[in-house]
Amino acid sequence: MARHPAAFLALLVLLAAGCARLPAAIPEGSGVWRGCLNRNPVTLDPAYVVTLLDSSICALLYNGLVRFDESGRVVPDLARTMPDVSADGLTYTFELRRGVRFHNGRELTAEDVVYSFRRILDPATISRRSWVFEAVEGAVAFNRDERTDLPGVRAEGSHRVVITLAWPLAHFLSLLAMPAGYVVDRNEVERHTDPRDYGFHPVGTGPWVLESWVPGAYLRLRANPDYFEGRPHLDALDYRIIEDGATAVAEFRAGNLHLLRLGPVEHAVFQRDPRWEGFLVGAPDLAVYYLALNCEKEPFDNVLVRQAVNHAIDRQAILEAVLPGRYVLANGSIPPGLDGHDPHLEGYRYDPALARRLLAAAGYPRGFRMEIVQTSSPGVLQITEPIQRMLAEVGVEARLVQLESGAFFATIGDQGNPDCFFVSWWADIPDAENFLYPLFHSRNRGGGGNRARFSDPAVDAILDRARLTLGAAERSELYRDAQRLVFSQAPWVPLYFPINYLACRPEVGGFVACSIANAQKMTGVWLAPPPAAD
Amino acid sequence: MTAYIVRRLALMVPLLVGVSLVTFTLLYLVPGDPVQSLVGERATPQMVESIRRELGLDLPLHLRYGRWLARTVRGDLGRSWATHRPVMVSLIDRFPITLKLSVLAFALSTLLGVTVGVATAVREEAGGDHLARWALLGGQSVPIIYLCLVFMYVFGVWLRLTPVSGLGDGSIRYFLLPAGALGLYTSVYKARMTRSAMLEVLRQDYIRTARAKGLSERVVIYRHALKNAMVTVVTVLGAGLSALLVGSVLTETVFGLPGIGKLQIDGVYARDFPVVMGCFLFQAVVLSFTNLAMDMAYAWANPRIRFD
Repeated sequence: MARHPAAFLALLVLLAAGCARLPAAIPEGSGVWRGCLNRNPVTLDPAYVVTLLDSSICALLYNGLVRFDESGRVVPDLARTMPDVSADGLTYTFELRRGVRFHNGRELTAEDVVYSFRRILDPATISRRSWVFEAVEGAVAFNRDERTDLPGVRAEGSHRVVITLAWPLAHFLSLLAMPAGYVVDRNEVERHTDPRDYGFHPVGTGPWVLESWVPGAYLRLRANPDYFEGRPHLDALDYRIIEDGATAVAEFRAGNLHLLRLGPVEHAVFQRDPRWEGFLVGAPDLAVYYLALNCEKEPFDNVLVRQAVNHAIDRQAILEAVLPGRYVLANGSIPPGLDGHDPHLEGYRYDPALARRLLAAAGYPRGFRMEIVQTSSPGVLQITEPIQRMLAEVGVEARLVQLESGAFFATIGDQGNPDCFFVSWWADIPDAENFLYPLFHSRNRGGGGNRARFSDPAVDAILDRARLTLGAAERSELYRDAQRLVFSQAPWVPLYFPINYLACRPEVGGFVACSIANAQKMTGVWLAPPPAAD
Repeated sequence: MTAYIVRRLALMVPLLVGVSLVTFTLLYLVPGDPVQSLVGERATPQMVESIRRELGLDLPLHLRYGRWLARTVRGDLGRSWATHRPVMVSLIDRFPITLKLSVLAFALSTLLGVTVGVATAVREEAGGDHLARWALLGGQSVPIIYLCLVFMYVFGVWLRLTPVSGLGDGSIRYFLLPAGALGLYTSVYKARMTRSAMLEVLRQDYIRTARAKGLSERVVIYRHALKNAMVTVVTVLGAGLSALLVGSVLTETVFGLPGIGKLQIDGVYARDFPVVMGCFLFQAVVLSFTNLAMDMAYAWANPRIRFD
């Protein structure tokens, strides 16, 4: 299945459309959605959002100038149309929709947009996402407190926002669609004595209004009747916070949840159960799982060693055993579905004899010892243990080091210097840039995202050029080139692009699984009257 | 008695300072960087530096502790580094949940444990005793997390007698399953302790005397034997109650009840120092008071104990 990613993905899209059984007239006010979150949101203040979960809740409460649609394309949101972009790619002019109101009733103006963007860059905010706006003219100096004005973002009249960039950035609009680009109401932020309290009392323009949030227990959002795209079909969204996977399954089976994210074990169980046939929704996640090799550390500073490790591991066999039907084999870092994904990119084939020869050529005829650092998340050992065995066959003695996630990220970031580690990368934006620039540009070595500490001036040059290139075709060609060049030097053992499965109750209509967390606005979802009890 | 209580309360001050000092030091020795989990991917060194400064992580350890202590003495436990919610607010929000769960589970386990303990002791070596002892052994061997899931499926999913999980509106029916599982689990030890204490007491001369002077078996068991066995049992009950009140991480997690245990474990994972410190301090206070209450209960169970 995974050998034909394109056909497989087409099938997934069909599945995604398929939950709705009754295409009858959709009743407005069709009930209360019962969902679950696997963790308590940390904050609902866009300036501090870093997790996908927080991002997905903020998407329901706020709007940006543009947003991702369900397929990941950038479409207008608060802007009436896509912006006018100057020929040099430096000036973006957005015309705002009129009559958009915050949840408190106040009308949104261009000043609110300017305030919100400035706030992300304001050094006093210490936003985690200031890098999103780093291309904006004056942003870097403003963020470093070296100047007090931000010339790059300005309001012209009440409904026009003009953004000028210091350098052209092809994926700038995708960045604007991130939660950092959501527009907040200044009065609501500054109403609190400690502005950080705003994160508990978010006020946006989005289709849903936060009604209550009991940390660790639940969140309740109600439909915004004045939403500029029309009131959502559902009356309210109830999200229970259920951290334990087994509990979520029990609640789903008891009929208390409309949607359940399936882990590999539940996926197998639900797939065998005929009652759920047609109600399992699949969507590829925009993520990549990989084994990173520390290119700055012996012996992985030697490209032959890195290639040998790649040849020593039978990835297909491991994945087929551990994640059947839930992966697409990765030969690079750009997932299928994104411009720049290269279906013709050859991976390193499993060839232990070649691996041994490469090791000998690199000066390690008798192998070496290494450590594979990993988190203690369930399922990780299932992948790393066979890798350990396969490495042993070519003479490399790998020790598995399991760390709790806090210690893990400190170790693989700037505070440690591990040999090798198993980790995943999740997209901020559906763009090839996000799977190359942070991961392989030498500027981002360590905590910046390039955790394999890969460095190649030729790759840097292509990535820098691609960021400035505006033509889509030329750009995706550059990303394909960069990817090929990177993986010829084997800084990773790329493993897989995950496919996420959801079980969806039969009464759910209009639900489309999204690959990007903040694309889901839940406005088109409705509930049919429940069928007779089974 | 009053003097004793005052002395015990005064002793709590150095105890709490000691607990906080040890916790504080341990937290800084634990590997892992608190800032890392706050910034996510793509952090610039400059951003990490600003956050360090904001959190006071750039100061030497003793200064950080001094700051924390000075604030805490004024009743301010600080704010969570992750969510920015005041730690005191979180504790106040969450303690009722843990309290409700603990009290229910404690009542159930005590009722069950003491009853079974007494019943099996009285019928020593009878068929019922053997059966009960096997059942107790089994009960103690089942992991609590499994017991929770069994309860959840049997009563919540299949019989639909109770909600499956969650806090709901906070009403008592949401606590029945977790308290049931927790109560059953913790009753086992109590039953075993009650049984052995009762067996010991039942062999005493004064029990034979009581029976010889013609008292009914009920009076012998409950007024003479049980009250004397209670000295041992109260110790077990006290320790059990303390253990419940500081939060039951697994039960709270499985049933999705945001209690103190959950708050603390999340704090530890996120290296959220103010939250962890607040939880430890709070738990130390709760433990101190529970222990004090238990010492009072000894005096009731055994009038020979004097507090002076």
